Amino acid sequence: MIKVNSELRERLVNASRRSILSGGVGLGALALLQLSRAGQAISATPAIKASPAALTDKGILGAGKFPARAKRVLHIMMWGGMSQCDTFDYKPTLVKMHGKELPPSVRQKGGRVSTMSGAQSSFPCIAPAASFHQYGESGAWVSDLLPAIGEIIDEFTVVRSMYTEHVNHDPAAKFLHTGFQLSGRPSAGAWVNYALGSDNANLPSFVAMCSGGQGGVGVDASAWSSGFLPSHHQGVLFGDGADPVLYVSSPEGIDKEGRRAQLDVLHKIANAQTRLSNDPEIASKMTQYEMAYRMQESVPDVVDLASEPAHVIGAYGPDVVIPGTFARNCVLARRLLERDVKFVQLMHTGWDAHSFLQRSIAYSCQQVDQPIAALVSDLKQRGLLEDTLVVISTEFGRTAFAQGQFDSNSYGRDHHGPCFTYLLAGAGVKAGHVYGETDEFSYNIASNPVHIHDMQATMLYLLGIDHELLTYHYQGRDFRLTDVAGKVVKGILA
Amino acid sequence: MNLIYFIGRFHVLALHLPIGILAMAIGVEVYGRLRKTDRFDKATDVLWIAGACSALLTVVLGLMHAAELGADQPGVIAHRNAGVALLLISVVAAAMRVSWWRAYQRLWPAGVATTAGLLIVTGHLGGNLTHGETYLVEYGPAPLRRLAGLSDPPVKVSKLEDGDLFANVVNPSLQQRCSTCHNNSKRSGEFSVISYESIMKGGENGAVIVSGDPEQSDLFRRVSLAHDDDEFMPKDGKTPLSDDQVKAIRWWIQAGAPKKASLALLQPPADVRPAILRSLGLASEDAKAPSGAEMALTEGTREADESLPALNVDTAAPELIVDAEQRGFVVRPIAMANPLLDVSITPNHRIANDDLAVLERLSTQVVQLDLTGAGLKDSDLAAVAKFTNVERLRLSKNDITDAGLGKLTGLERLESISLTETKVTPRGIVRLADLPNVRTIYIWRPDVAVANQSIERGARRVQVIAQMPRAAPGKIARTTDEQLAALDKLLSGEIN
Repeated sequence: MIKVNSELRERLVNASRRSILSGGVGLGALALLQLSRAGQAISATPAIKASPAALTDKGILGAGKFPARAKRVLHIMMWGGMSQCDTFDYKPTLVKMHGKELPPSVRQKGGRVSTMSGAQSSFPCIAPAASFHQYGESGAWVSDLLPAIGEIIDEFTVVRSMYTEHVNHDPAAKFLHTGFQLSGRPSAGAWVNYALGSDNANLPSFVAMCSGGQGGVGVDASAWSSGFLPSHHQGVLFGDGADPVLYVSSPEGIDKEGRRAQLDVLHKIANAQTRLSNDPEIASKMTQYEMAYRMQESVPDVVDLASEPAHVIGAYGPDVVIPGTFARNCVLARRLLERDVKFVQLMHTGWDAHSFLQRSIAYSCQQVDQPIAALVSDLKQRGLLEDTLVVISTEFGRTAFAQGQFDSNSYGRDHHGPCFTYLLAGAGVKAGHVYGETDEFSYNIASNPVHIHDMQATMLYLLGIDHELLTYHYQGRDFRLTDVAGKVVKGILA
Repeated sequence: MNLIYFIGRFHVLALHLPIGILAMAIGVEVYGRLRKTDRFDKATDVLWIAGACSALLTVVLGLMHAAELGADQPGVIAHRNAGVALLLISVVAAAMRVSWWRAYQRLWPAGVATTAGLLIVTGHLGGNLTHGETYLVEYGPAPLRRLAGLSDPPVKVSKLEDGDLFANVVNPSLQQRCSTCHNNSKRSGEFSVISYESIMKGGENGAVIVSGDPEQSDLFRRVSLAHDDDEFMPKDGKTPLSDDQVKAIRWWIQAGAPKKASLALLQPPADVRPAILRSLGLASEDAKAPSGAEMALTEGTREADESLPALNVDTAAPELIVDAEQRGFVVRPIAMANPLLDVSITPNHRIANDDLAVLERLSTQVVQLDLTGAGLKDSDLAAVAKFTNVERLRLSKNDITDAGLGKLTGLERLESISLTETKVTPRGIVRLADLPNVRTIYIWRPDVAVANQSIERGARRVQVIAQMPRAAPGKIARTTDEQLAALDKLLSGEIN
């Protein structure tokens, strides 16, 4: 009982801090809303026929410390470990040394390898799975497996010097999404939602979508989890069925008025319960009910592609006709970003190329190349890339050496944390720029290393947030997305 | 040697013991004697012994610490001598009190007074070493400052033109952030910032200021390095110069590092003027930036400062914002405690007749305005034109034509405008390019393919973006459909 009370008190402290911080601009409407979030005046909100703008939650900060360059984030995560050697980090040495042993000094400098290849007696280099060409004014090298991205590479900053400490998918992916290798911390999208709220009260401000699949490593929910933040900051997962948001449509026999009446009664009950316990999770739950109610209209509008001209949709590639594919998710992502959804996260699995490297990576690249290029182009054409930050990430890279039997052609590449590649584009990021260098084997970083926490700090910075100041008090201490590290990578800022 | 330096630094910790204990001993001693009580005698014995022991410890650590600072520096020598004397007198006092009570009875006032005096002198000399000679009286009244040999503090100027670049801007920053180590007694790196002459003289590696060339000037270089660079100054985690201060120093060197430099004559250019103003404490004059102290706290500040629109506007009344939100506009400040606003219409929300009139009451504050799909017609653009401070404007997905664009000619601050999915034509947007700050115009539309263009207006180039520019690569081999089909077949059975 004591524990429960202390936890409750902590939440109340958080709640009151939130309403204090919300002061300043938008005082009236905002304060009312914040109060309702703190669970003190829930009943007032739904009864008023307020405009959706007045219902918009501006987040705990309301605005960044710095003027934001990015108003929206598109995070595309290549789940499984996208090989840098076969995509963006071109190393002629690997072609020359194909089949020859990777120098042990290079391998030792990279630290531990996974237990899957650790026992190998030989570590032969392998050439990239395709040839490379230089593109655009930046002259960045891009694999022939990604020709469409190559054509627009001048929009990107290619960060070739990413690194992580982790060697396995689960901790590495959690680290990427939440800044920590164990479950329980909020994901970046949830942090952003907590900090800045929403610009469109009719849609969730954080939407996640998954594609890919077919074996390999599965996506896990920590990537859009709200961790210890109030649960309404969690990302809403759009599925691939006819109903992208499950159970959001009303069952037969229930009309809109009936739903409204039902919610109004629920509010009264919730209010009574709140007066007893003051648990902000009740408010969270009601917020979500209300959101679901508004989504009954807004979601069909997002997923209905009837208004899209065929040539616009066609640019995303043939897969776009199939719901649940990466291409289809890219179209939805654009439509969500157009509607001011703040954080859209696409996760595409199938990059874990331990074996049959050529086939596996060609297949994955083919699935994402055209859709990514079409999505970024679409944002650019519509003038949205100016204030949308695009981040293409992966939890780690892959080894320059072969995993498995070199002569059998079934070899692949193992996990590799010491260097891998991110792509960034859009708001506040240099266009047509390559940042960081790896050694001639693409095995260790030669200059400008960028840690996962640094990238998180940079992303928050571009949203106007000081990553050291965005904290949440939980279980006796303040937590942040970047844990106790992270430096803004100034070299990639425009 | 490192071990000695390491242990030596504990001097700074240990020294508080003798100060505290001996002060206590003296206090109890005096109190006991004035009240003529022997209640404290035993305790006083203990205090004197403990004081003497802690003084011994401190002196030993101090001698080690002196090895690091340079035992031959005048300031260090004086502090050491005073410290050793204090040790001796406190040992003698303690010994006499314990063993030669009778002699002590007669001599105690002398012992106590000497100990107290030496305690103050030693402490002060040590403080000078750590904090700099001017630390104590820096904010003292003028007569005290003069007594300590300090010049009068620079008179606070009320406007920029009254100020002097060195005396009012550069020198105060150097005194504030550098003089702790670079003073006449400590002279780290043989360099002192105590006067203009000593600054120009430089340190052990020669001059630190190359007149006119900040990049070649060691002083500027070292304060402007990355904060974790080994050569960065100030080191050891001491508070760095603020970005404004660094900027001012750079400009001062560029201007030839003059000793007397009236700001009225120098006329700071627009890019350093806000920094100078803030350094003079005149931030409100024309640059309404967030408070310098607050912004200087964390990294990223430099960019943030520069990207802030230099606009002097009042904060909008909260009720105006509430009104606008009731009409479907999402209103946010562009940054915390910043009066400038970012306004966007709720997606898929169409405005009614007087909605823009309600929003117009915020027209001076709005710098970003997004009215995508708000159902605007050409006639509404007259109302949009009243947002004269707007820098980024989105009018996409509205039924507007070239005719309406003519009304926007007053938007002198406009940098980027989005007219995608409207009925405007490449001909119509040419006059937008004449607006003095426009850089990007978006005119993509799904039904008509239009080429990108680039319009030259003097040194300014306006990009008209109608589609994504694509870079043709060298020869590339695309995967053919047959290959993909084959791949699919292969992969349908086996992956991992």
